[in-house]
Amino acid sequence: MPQKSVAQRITAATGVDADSWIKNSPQFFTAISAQTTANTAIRFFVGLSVALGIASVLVVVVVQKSREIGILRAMGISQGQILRVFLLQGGLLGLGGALVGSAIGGGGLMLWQHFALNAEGTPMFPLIFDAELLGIALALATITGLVAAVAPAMRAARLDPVVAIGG
Amino acid sequence: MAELAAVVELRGVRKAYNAGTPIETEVLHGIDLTLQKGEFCAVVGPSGSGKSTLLNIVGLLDRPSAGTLAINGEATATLNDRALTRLRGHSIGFVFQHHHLITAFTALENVMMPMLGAEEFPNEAMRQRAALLIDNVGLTAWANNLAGNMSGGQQQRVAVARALAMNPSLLLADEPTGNLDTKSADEVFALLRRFNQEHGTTVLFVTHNPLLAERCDKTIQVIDGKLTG
Ligand SMILES: Nc1ncnc2c1ncn2[C@@H]1O[C@H](COP(=O)(O)OP(=O)(O)OP(=O)(O)O)[C@@H](O)[C@H]1O
Ligand SMILES: [Mg+2]
Repeated sequence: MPQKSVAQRITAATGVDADSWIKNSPQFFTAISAQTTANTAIRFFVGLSVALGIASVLVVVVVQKSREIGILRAMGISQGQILRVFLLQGGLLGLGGALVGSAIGGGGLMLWQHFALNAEGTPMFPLIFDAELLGIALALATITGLVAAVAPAMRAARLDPVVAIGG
Repeated sequence: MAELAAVVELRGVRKAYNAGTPIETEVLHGIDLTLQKGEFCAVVGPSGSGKSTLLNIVGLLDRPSAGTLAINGEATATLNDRALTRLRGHSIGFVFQHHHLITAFTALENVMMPMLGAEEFPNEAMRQRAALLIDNVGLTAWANNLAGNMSGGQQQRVAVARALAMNPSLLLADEPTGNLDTKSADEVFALLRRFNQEHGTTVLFVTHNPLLAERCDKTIQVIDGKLTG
C-alpha cells in the first residue's frame, strides 16, 4: 500500500497526523474511479462507432467503385494490391480523423484556458500538452481505421471481375 | 517448344453459369480454338451467343466449366488467382465496348495503370512508356487531360493504349467500336491493326460490323455457344 507508506513517512518526518485521503474520503475515491471506468467505456464506444463509421463508408465506396475495381483486376492488378488500397484508405481515414479531432480538441482546450479564469485571473486548470497521449491517440485511430477496413477490403479484393465490370 | 506454342489454345471449353443450381445454363458448348502469334481474328455472332463469355474465359477473367485453355503454351487450369492475374497482366490486354477508363485520372495515368499492377517499372519509365503509347494513338496533346473530358473516340483510343501498356501477346477487344461513329470506329480499328502488324500482337476482335470483320485475317462465328466458320 504505497498510500499508507506515504502517510506514515509524513507522520514520521513531520510529526503531524497524516492519513491516506483514500481512507478518509472513500466516496470521493469511489467517484473518481467510477469516472475513470466511465471514461474508458466512453472511449471504447467512441472507438467502436468510429470503426463502424469507417467500415460503412468503405463498404459504400467498394460498391460504388466496383466497376473500377473490376477494370483494375482485368488490367492485372492483383487481389493483394486491391486489398492494400482499401486498408490504406481505412488507415488514412482513421489517422486523418484523429488529426482533425486532436486539432479541434486542442484548440478548444486552449480557448477554454483563455476564458475560464479564476477570480484573480489565473487559468482555472493548468493545460499540459501530452505529446505521448497525442501519439497514442493517432496510432490507435490509425489501427482502428485499418481494422475497420479489413472486411470491406477483402470484399473488394474478392469481387468477381466479370460481374464487377458488368458483362 | 515455347516459341512454337500458340498464343491461345482452347480445347473443348464449356461454360455453364449458375452451375449446380436449378437455373444452370450452359452458354459455351465445347469450343476448340487456336490462335497463332500475329493472327487478327474477328468474332461475330448474334447477341447472346456467348462471344463475351468466350473472351472473358480467354482473358482469364472467368474459368471454363470444362475443357482446357493454354496461353502462350502455359496451361491455366491449375493456376491460382495470383498466377492468373500475373499472366493476364503481362500477356493480355483488354478493350471493352465502353472505354472503362478511370475518368478522374488523366489519359496518361490511365495508360500507366497496367504497369502499376506489374510493380516492376520505376515511375519515370512508366511515364515515358505511357507517353509513347499516347503518342502512338495520336493523343499527345491530350495526354494530361482528364479521361472524363475526352470524346468517345479519344477515350477508346486511350483504352487501346492502356491495353497495350504491357506489350501483351494477346489483345482482346469486345466490340470496341460498338459505341463509336464510323470515323472513330475506323480509327480505332486501324490502331488495332497497326499494333497487330508492328508488334505481332494476336487480336481477338468481337464486332457486329461485317465490314470490319471482313478486314480481319479470319473470322469465327459463335452461334448458340458453338463455333462455326
Ligand atoms: N453472369 C451470367 N450469369 C448468367 N448468365 C449469363 C451471365 N453472363 C452471360 N450470361 C448469358 O450467357 C449468354 C451469352 O452471353 P454473352 O454476353 O457471352 O453474349 P454475347 O455474344 O457477348 O452477346 P452480345 O453480342 O449482346 O454482347 C447469354 O444468354 C447471357 O444471358
Ligand atoms: Mg458481348
